[in-house]
Amino acid sequence: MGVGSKVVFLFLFLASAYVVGLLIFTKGFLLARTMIHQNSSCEVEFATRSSDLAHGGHRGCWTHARFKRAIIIIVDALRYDFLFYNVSLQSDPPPYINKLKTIHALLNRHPKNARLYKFLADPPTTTLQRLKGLTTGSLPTFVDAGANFDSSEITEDNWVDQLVNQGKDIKFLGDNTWDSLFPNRFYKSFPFPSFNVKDLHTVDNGILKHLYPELRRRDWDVFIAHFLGVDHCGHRFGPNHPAMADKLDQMDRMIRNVTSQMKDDTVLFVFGDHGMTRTGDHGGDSEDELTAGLFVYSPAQITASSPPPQDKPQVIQQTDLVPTLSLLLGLPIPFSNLGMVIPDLFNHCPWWDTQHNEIRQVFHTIKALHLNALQVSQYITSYAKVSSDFPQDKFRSLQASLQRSEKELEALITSVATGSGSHGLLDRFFNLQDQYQEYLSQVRAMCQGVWAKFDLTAISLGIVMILGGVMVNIILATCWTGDGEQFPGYFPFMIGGMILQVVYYVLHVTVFPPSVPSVMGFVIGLVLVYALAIVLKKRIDEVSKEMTLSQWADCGVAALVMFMCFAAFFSNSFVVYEDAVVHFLAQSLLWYTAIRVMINSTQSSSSHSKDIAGRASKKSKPSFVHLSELLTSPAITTFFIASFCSLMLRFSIYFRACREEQQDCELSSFLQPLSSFGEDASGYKNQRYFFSIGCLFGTLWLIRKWLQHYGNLNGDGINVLCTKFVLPLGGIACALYWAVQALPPKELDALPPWQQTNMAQIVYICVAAHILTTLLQPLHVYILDSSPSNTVNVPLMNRGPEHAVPYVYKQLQQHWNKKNESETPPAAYGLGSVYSSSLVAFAASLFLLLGLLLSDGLAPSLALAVLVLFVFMELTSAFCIGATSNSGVPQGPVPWIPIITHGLLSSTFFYATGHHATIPAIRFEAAFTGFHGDFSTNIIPALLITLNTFAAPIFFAVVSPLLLFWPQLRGPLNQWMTSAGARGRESAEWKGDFSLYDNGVLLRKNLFCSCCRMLLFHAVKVLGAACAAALHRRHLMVWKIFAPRFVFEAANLIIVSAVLLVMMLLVLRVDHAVSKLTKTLQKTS
Amino acid sequence: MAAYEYGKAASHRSTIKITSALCALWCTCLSAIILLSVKYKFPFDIIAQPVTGVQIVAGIIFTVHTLSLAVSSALEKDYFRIKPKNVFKCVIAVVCACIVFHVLAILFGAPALESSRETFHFAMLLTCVAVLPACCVLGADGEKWIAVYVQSRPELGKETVIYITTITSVVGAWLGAVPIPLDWDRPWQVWPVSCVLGSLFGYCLGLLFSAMYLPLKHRQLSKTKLT
Repeated sequence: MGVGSKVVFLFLFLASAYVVGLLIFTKGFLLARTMIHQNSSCEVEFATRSSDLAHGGHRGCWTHARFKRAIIIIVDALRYDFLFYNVSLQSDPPPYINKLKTIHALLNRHPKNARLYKFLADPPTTTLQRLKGLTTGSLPTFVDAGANFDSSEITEDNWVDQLVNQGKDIKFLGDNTWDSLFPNRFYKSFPFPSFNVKDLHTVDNGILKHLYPELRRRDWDVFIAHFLGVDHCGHRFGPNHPAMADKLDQMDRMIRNVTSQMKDDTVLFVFGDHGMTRTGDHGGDSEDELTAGLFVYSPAQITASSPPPQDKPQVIQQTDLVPTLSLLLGLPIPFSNLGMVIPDLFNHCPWWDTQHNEIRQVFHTIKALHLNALQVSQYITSYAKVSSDFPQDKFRSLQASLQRSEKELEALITSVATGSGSHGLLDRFFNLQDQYQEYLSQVRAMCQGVWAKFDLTAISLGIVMILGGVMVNIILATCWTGDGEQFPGYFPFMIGGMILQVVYYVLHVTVFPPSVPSVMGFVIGLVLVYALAIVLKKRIDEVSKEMTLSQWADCGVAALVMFMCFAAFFSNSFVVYEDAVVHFLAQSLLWYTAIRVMINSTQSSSSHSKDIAGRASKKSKPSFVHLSELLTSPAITTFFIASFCSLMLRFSIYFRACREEQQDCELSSFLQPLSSFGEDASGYKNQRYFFSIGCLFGTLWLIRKWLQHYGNLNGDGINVLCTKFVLPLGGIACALYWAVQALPPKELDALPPWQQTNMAQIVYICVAAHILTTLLQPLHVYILDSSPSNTVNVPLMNRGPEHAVPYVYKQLQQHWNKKNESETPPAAYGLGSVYSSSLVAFAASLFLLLGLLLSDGLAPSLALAVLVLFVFMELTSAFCIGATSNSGVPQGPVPWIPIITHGLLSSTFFYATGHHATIPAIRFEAAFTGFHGDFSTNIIPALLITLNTFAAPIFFAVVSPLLLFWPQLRGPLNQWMTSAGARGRESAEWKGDFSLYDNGVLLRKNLFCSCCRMLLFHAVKVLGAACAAALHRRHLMVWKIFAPRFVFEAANLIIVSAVLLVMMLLVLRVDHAVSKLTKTLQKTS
Repeated sequence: MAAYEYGKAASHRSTIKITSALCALWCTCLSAIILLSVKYKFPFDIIAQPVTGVQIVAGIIFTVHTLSLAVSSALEKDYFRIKPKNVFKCVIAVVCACIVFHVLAILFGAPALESSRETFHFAMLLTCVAVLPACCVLGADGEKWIAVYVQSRPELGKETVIYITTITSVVGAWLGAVPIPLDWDRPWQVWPVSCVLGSLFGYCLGLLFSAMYLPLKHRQLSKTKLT
């Protein structure tokens, strides 16, 4: 096995160890609730169905059915304040206020037939989760939140299944999520695709087309319509947009038409499954996202109580819909429901003369609550049998209180029947009602507490696993140096131990029954960590003897910054303001590097010649000759270059998004799509568009110029042609696509779909073609054949000799000289940057792809990242050259300081590309670049969204191998920054990164080491995020701050390790091609 | 630190002792003023009104340094450093340093345009503690600057003190930015109060450290010389 494959397998092994650790941790942290697959049946002992039939009503299961039919209209993201009619209206209301006039009119005209509630959702507020809650009545857990695009059938008991079991017919119109949740349950359904959030009208118009005819046919028992327009409007424009007013007006007309067609045996529920934030997003747990509205109406009277005052609306949970709807329709309440019936809707019964008898009203409510409580009690009893989650004493005391209420109920019934003790009877009834309500809400609270309970064993095993991975990573990144191909003696033991740990942990978590104690796992993990720590200690002792003061300082600063990154996860404020934190740290390390370079160059120049003094601003002389000399001295040049880099990094701040918790944050206009600006802002629109285009082409031009500088764009190889022509073509297509997208929404929607997307598809094709050719033919090298005919007409290149950097292959030259003294050797153009150019070409196509996905507003940020990276690479190579004590080029892997700076820059630009570590901050609209929304699989949108979200980490990981090659290149900036003495030393024999080819083993080892270090930075961050999430698992903000942070960091680690692996393979591929090339050269000679 | 090289002037034991004692005294006075101001808002309130506070503190530091420069050159009967040309150079250096610190603060994330008054005062204070003493001690001699800051070879004595205090005050200002994002809602978390306090504390700690370090190092050196 060669070093190359060894290295790849080791890296793969390390990455998979991390992934296993993350999965184990996730399993313990993002706990799923145990599902009980048991359905409520019509015959249960606590409900006697015969007794209710005595006084009429429709036949029901546990109780009589109050209504025969129900219409359920879900208006996605219908926030409470959309529904609520504000009578005291201010002069300039937002467009969503007071649009649903029908509801207000109904509430006023028929106060006992209609009710409006605040309808609190349980986070996460994604539609799929909400639908699960709204049909099963159970509480969600964090873990299914990500599964929104992979909706699968609901297996828990729910009212849809109950309806089907009772032989009722359900008709469904709207969001096709329902169809995937309840396949084959509906008697008739008209599903419409829900994913295309740009499309405001297809779903709604489709529903409206069928709604009235289907309603009129009255061949249904339950009618469900799920409108998506309001939600999509929020996603696309936000609530404060005239389009929202149009949409709500449309909903208002729909409600008016539906209510006018209703008959007395029908009840209507209109509600939103969640709300939306100020920006129109949802998914989190802010108040705006949680408070949806619910409107209940029937032409017949539904309640006996008078409506609450306008400013104090009743608040109910969304799960409360489940028992209410079930009992109103005479269904059994679904088995795992935790909701409580809405008491208001049960205190009136037309067949039981509740009109003027308050005791009867209360008693009727209590009957419903009684059934509800017994169902919940049955559920938690059977849950307690399969799982020991509930705290025993709490569980017992709850059940005891239920027993007491039941006895009280019996006593009351007998006293009513016998007519004795009518004095104070009403109070006793009210008291009992409170007791039932108290019981139900306490059970809900207990379950909420328990299902946020964590599997501590899995959590700690996961952390120990990641910690073990980090230790192995440190050793791999530091201890395998030198020339030898062999591993140090302890490597097999280390890897064996790691494999043992992985296998044991996986078995422990998946196969072993819970009764197996977890001590063994901890022992294995901690022994491994301890053994590795001993190895590491020894290594540190060895190294520290020969370290100089500045190396100590480097290590100290690197360790300090690393520690700060790690520790920042433990404070919610630092996580909230992490964008500023990583920016600050990145700037700090940048300036540390710059100061080191300045000190180095001043030292060498002052030893070189006493005249030129560094630190010159302090010593400036008014004489101009001196001043110009001073300004071009390496130290001052470095200072200006570092300032430029730092300034570019500072500009990235203006591309940041706002997190909900950042109060003083103003939304950057770069984050709004161009189409959202109205006619009045067309000047700004143009400016921004041309700015974006300028950034895009400027960056592509820079990359092209760079390749030209090193002579990589000569010849007519297919990859060279691709880089020359296909990439600019892609850039033009990208610019045109942005132009199309900047059209006002109405005009854009009027275009046929293919015209909206074809430009982006051209970009995809260009990028794919470019990447493919780069993989097939990775070398951007042109060999100028020196057969006698060619040597005569030398100026085949139209570029001057300084543009095409000719490299004379040494061995070849000697060989040639022996054979034929008179002829010149073949010249190879671009051999000096043979590795870097392939990487740069690869990165260029990726830049185009990511820029397209980030959309016109944020593509400049990526261009900024390229600029920062370029200057940073130059600075770093000056640093690396200064750090190597001997005069030669750096031999070892990339030092720690550049690695950590690079990692911090990657985090900084994660935030500067408009992202945040929260679920609502994911930019779902990226899925529609180049596609019109009707996806057959979820793979493409998921891929596009991932690329958009992790654009910066991916891009930075792709360019990371360049850190290894760049110091060999001696770029122009780099030469200004190093002193004249060093310059003279180097210019004699410039071999570029081709010099790394001489020692293949060292190249592979250094590459591996550098990638390991890169991975270590991200792994330490994940370790911090995981530890913080575990430590703060009872924190108020855990689901809002710490858990999403961990999820994003874990995804980041997985993506970065995958990209690094790909880049290692790419470099190996290039190396392979280079060795082939040299062989053919030798042959031809 | 084997890199130190010592000239002839450094070996006077009494000079070291006096420098060390002066450092300790100056550190005590300055930290007393800052603590008074932080704790009792007397004689001025640096937390509520950082701008005035910085003006007063910077004024005190400036006066002390120029006075000590005048006194020391009077004692040494050595007026060459106070040539107008050298003074001019030093002033330019201080102004440049002030601008550089201001720009750096913005680059590190301070607001770009708003509260620029506060940012400038912070830069001014940092210049007063990090660059001004160096100007007073090293003068306009570039060679000396390089020897102290680039080659890290300050002479034992005043130069060691300024070398240490420059580093500690800059690091202190850097660390002062750490508590800004925390949600404690304290008045000293407002930009630039924590950084101002950080640099002042860093400066005081540097003075304290050098007051202890100087005699120790001197003793150690004289021992090695004897053997």
